[in-house]
Amino acid sequence: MLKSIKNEAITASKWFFRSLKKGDWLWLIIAVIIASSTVTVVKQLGETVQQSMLRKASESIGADLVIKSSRPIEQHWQQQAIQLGLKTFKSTALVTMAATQKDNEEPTFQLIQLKGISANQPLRGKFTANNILPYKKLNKHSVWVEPKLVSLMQLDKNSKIILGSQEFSIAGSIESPQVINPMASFAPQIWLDLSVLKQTKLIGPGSRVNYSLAVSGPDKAIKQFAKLVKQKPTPHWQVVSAKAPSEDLGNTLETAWLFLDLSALSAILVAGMSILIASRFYLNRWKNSMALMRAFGANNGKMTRLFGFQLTWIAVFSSLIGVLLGYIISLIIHPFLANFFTPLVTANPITAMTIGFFSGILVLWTFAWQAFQSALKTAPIQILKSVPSQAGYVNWLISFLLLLTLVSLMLNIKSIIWIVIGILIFSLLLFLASMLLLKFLNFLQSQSRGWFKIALSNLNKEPGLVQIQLISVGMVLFVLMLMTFVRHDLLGNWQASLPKNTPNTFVMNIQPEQKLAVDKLFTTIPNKSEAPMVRGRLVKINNQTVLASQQANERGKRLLQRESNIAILDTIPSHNQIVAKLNHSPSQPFVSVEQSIAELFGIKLGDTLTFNISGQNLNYQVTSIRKVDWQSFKLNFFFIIEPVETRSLPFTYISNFYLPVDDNEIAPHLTQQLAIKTPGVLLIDVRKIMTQIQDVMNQASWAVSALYLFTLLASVGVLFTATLASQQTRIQSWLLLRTLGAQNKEIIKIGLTEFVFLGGLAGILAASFAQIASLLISVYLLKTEPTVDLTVWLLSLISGSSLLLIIGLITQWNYLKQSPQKLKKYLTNN
Amino acid sequence: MTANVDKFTTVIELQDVHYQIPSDSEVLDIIKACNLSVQSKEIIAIVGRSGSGKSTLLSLMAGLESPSSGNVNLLGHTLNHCSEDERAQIRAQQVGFIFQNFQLMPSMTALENILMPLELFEIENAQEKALQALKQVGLENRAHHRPAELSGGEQQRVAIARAFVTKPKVLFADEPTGNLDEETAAQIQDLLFELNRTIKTTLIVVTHDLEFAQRCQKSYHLSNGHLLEQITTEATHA
Repeated sequence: MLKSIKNEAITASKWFFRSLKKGDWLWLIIAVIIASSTVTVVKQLGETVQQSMLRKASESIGADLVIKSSRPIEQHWQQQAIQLGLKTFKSTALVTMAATQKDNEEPTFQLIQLKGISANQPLRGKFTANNILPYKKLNKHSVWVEPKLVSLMQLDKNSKIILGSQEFSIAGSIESPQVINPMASFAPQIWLDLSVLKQTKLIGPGSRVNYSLAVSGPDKAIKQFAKLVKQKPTPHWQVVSAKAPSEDLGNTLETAWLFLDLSALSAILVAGMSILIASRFYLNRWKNSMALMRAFGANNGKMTRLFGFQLTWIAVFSSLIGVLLGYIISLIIHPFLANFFTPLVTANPITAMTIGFFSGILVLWTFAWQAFQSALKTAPIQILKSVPSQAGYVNWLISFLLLLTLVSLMLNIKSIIWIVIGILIFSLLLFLASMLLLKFLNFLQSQSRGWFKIALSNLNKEPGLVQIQLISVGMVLFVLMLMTFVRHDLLGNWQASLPKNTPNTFVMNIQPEQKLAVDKLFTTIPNKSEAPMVRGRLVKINNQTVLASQQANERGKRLLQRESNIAILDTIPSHNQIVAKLNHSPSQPFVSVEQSIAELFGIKLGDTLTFNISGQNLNYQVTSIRKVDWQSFKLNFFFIIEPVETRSLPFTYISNFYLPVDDNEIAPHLTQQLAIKTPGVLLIDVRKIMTQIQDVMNQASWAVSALYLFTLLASVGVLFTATLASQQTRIQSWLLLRTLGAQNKEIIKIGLTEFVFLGGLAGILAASFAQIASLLISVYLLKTEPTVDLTVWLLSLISGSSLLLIIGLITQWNYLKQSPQKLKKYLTNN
Repeated sequence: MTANVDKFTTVIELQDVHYQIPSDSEVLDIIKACNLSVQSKEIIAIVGRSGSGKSTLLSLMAGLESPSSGNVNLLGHTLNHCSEDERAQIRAQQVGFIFQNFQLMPSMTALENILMPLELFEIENAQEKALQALKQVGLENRAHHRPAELSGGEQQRVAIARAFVTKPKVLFADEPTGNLDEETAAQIQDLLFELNRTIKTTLIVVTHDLEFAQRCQKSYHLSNGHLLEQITTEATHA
């Protein structure tokens, strides 16, 4: 048996290469090449883009993963990280006062964030020396200072800084790439060697100290370490990963990854459609040879193996070419990426090539499966007369399973269930819709006359083929439109979330008596907004104490452990969207709650919330739930409470405004002025983090656009191959018309009408599905606002017709004007 | 499943064979109570009008289809009792086919078309045997031409070479000259008779060409589903 299989494999190989030389499998090979090369390119570029963006995110936290804790992190965690082959970086930070004194002058004091660090550079990114002061490496007797501290404390290269019980010289003014949480580091930073931090004696019982252990290294080791950390949850820890440096950035990145996967999947489905058409074209040939071989005495098993080996050969051969082509294309594109991604991390191509290779094989088997099975079922009698055959349900099931395997190669396994349901519903609807369109075509044909009737009858001649063409052209247009919608939604949301002049500077801790002085200082700054606020903690919901320890969610724990900013306003700001409102007057002063917090703690309208504000417990009734766009950087609060005259609260003001991004002098100047005129008032400059978020979004949108373009090109390529693969039937029609005496003018009219009509119908089909899918994806996957646009149908109708008309013109022009003799020659040779 | 045909004088036997096909409103009787016995190395013709069921009868004899009732015996095997694979095995070892429209693979050369059954059944020295067959039909100089580059007569010669190359005991020919002009048809008939002599094969020809039928040893007329022996022209082909 084994010997026989081996011999069959050899025979199949011989037949494959023989046919290959003659270009027999051309359309299938082209379709598989398009599929595997597209997947290779999309995956390789996607992975490169993803890794580059992650590296950028890593630089923003100075590592791949950081554990932050309010207590010292046990030494064994660092050892475990080292054992996993990771690099480590420890730091300890606290907010304290620094002093400097010039000869015979009063000492200058400044609130600073002191950070003890275990090495001269972070693990990802690097400290950049600012040339205000000469740069040296840190030693036991020196510190680095943040540039704004130089102006705040009037420092020069000979200045000494007193930190607790120690005096330090200045080794330079540096800028850190880490901008993970600007609000937490509102005070200017001073860095010193971790080993000398203890000697300053600034850390004592009750000091609010933040300890962190940062790690970096290979992705696998990071994942292992993150798993270890997750296995031993520690309540006072906060773990920050480069994959989600902040919630907002994390969401943006996830959306971008989803788009990258969607574009790869689209490319493969589009190529699949081409295989469907091409395999239908080959089906007649396959059936002829099957019937002949059956008549000669080949049994079912032999035919299955011989034919299966040949298809596998096509799959392997074309996938290999596709993978190679894809790799070459990604090498060509690679240098252009360097302009958009800094640093550019080149992904190992093996993964992309492996996925590309298997995608090619799977896409062929998935879409040629029905034709393969249909051919295998060819009865030997078919060599003498035609016998109708039908595909069994099992074959559809196998096709579907193959398609699922293919999809799972492309997408996260979590999305599979949605994809399964989606594909099932979509296939059914597409099939029904195409049936309806066919019926419409039939009706139209019966009502029309002349050349138009002939054009329609040409379409109706092979309803099965027209149905596949409608579905595949519709699918191509649908995928393209879907990507246009999603891309539009994505870019629209990103851009809308960070409009020009987005506030980028916050001023906090303005005491009521300082407000006038602060206002005076900022008179020239436009579009300033401000709000009174208190610091408070949620302690009870409906008189039930809420404890951090009871919270399953880390975010819930953190929010209960610390005080939040609570705004005191009598009306809800217009930039907040009220999603639920109590329809009767509250029995207590009101509180408006941010939607995600309400969901997190199960807060409902009418609930009574108790806040601990400066030691006193105060009750408020929930009258509204608000949706807040945190990415807007406007003044937003989890809670807004009603001002009540009888409740005397220790409020301060918070204010925010926009400062020009490239003005490096203004923030230090304002900080200095505030320190002199209104001590205690803090200026927080978030321009750096906003620039980084904007950078990440720009990179993601660039990647999305580039892949979109690539998929678009691949899809048009597929439409061409699909048209050429079904050429034979058309040529037969032209030949018949020519033989009957039709002139060029008529043949061109009839020929191109078919394309325009097919494109138009497919366009309508695609627009309807794209609109439905876009709504579903927007709501459930991307969690963005859905949009309905009626002009889409019109545009789709026009673009479908125009696209197919152009393809028709390019592919048919030569044949439409050929003599019957040449047309006949084409048919005999193919 | 191998049977030595030389042990049997009768290579094909049809006993009370019926073949019906269901249509929308009724059942159509294509073959009715057909009885036939074909002896080894015999040349018989089946004639009849278009649509009379000649090709169906041929496919029943070759085991390509099963009768609605009655028995078909081919080379000692009762086909009614054989599975599809067993019938395929009988055909593979001892049966050859020639068709009206030649059924050559358009993308294969003449030589490759003849090689196909040899390679399919992993027969040794396939290349030499295929070239020899081509030579026998006088097309050794057309080995690397594709069907589209050959005339109708040449294409049928290639098909005949393909049918004979496996040295079958029985050769079924379905309208082998139906697509050819008179002169070429006569040449093809000569070739078939000559190969019958040299290879000692039994030849069953379905044709509507009465002249061709007259050159065969026996001729049967199929009309209204009934098979009638009408002419016996023993050795007219010789």
